[in-house]
Amino acid sequence: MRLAFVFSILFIFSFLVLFGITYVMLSSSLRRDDRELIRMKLLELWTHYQLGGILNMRRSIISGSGAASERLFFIRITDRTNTSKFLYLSEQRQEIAPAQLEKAFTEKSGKPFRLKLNGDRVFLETASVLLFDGNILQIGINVSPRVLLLSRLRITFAFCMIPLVLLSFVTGSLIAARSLKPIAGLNSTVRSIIATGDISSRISARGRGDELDDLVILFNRMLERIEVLVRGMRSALDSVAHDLRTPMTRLRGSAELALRTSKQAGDYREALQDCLEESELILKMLNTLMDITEAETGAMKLNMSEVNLKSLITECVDVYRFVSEEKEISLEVSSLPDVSVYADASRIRQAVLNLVDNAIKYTPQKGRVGIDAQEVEHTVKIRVSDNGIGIAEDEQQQIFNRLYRSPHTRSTRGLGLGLSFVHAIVRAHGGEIQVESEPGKGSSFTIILPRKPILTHAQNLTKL
Amino acid sequence: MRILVVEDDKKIASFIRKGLEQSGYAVDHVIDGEEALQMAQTNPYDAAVVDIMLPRMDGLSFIEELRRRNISTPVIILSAKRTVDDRIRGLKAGGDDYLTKPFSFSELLVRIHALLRRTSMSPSAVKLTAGDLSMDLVTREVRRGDAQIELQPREFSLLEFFLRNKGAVLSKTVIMEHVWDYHFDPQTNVVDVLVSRLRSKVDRGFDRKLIHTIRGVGYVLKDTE
Repeated sequence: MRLAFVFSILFIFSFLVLFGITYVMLSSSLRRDDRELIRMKLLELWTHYQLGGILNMRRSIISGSGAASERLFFIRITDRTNTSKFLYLSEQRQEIAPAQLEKAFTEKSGKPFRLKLNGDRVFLETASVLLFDGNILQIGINVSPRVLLLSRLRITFAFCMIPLVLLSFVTGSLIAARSLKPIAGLNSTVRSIIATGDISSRISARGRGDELDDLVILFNRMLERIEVLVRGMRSALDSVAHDLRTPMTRLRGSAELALRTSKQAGDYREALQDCLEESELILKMLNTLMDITEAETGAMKLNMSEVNLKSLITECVDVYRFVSEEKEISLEVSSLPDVSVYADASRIRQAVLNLVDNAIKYTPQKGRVGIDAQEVEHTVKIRVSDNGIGIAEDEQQQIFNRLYRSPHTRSTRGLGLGLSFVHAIVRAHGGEIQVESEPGKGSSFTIILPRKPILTHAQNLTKL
Repeated sequence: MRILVVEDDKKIASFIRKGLEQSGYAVDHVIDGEEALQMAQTNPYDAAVVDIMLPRMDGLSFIEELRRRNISTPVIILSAKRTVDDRIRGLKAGGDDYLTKPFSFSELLVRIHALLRRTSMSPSAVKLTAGDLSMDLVTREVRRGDAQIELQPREFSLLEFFLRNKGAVLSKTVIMEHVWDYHFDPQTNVVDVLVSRLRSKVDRGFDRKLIHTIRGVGYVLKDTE
């Protein structure tokens, strides 16, 4: 509404300016014509007077020479005391008293003035010139046509203003409504989102590539991002609710059983230890699920810095040295390139540790687990390979899903979160993870990370 | 040794209190920050355990207030928030350590030990002992009775950790964090393997075992039966 108002004000203003210019130009051009006429007439009369005195002049007036003589209103010759010596009035105006004219004339010498004649108004423009004998020649011409024209113009304009104001307001509203249409769309979408909580609605862009379209696109992106976040949270909540039920049930079961059947301190002890272990497991799951959700939705804060790949992998291997020795698995690290990668050191370490952990877990005794890394163009690849049990082809894509546990390994201890955690972390770094595997021969997981800082997962989302 | 516990949850407070008292500490318990501030100003505490969410004055303000009054009692913050930012905020306010709920009591105890050690700094402790086991921190020599024990760096570091926290139960997470210096929940029994290796070097062939497993909680080194 305000915009429409501004529009119409602008419209009216520009119309006024336009009219003003036209009016001023028209009136000044008309006035110039009149002045020219008056000057010509004055010169003509003056010449006649100079040549033959009043008589000669009078003759020329009566003969009516000169194009604009019908507009000549009066001619007067006066001496310095302003006493009329000669007065000529155009025929139609014989009724004017010379005194009236004289009085008006002396009062408004040189300026156009107005006379009231029998209720009729006459506008005069006058000029005077000094004659050789000391008398003054004054003439007045009728400029009523000009004044009338201009006044009619003003009245017409004033009448035009009324519909124009209305028109401009209507036009203004139309233009405002038209240019605000996407904003109105935005408004109603936001309103419907607030009312229904359904964040899947989007605003359609008009495809003109202007600022409003940009706004719409940005707004849609924001919605997109919020939707991803909410969806992530919801699914995390679902999995938490679903998957914490199992250990919770076990915990509850142990406690209940002990209370119902046990008689000896040792039994209670056993039950309490079970409870502690289960609660530990629940906590771990909760934390890992939170981490995965944060990484997937882009809410995970990454402390990015230059990380030396060689020392990072060496650290990871060090953690598993004893475990691999125990299991008689040879943990082989091939020569590592001395390159650094821009990443969150602790997160990438966790990812690599998880992969090594998995590799050792699913490789039988006297097996082999290898870690190597290489620099390929703008990326670094960290590969963890083993000659363990391998993964069936139809399972290879599912293993990154949250809480997926292969039917073949379900009896092994684990949360079923390790690989989805690795996947989420690598994706949050703008990288990817690949798996190659053959059942019975072994698996190899490759983390591919961009070397230089690129857009993280979170930023990618906003770039959608 | 006197410890101030500031915690508004009755159950948590009582389990901290009982645990600390069993470990030989005197404990005062208050439930809000303002009361805690009064207590801390009138009594010289050796350490304080402070929850963040408290009625009247929250934990962080309490710690800031404490530091403003130049009271340098070491403080362990308890919080249900586990992000790095929260941790940093807690330490910036003047806390000395940060523990996320739920926590195991043994972990709290270990951290209190560490804080007390830091403040009462006994630099003369170049030799740690437990029964007939001795560890020289300078020569890095470890002996049990007459026999010398060869330890790898990680094993040495674990044994030192055990000896410094004699009698305290160390959870796997605490060990992981101390020996490898970072947070990680290994699914494979990395810590179990390390402990069993150390155990085989320290306890094998001796009647009196020093390192014990507390199922569901962790490990403990005790020099008395």
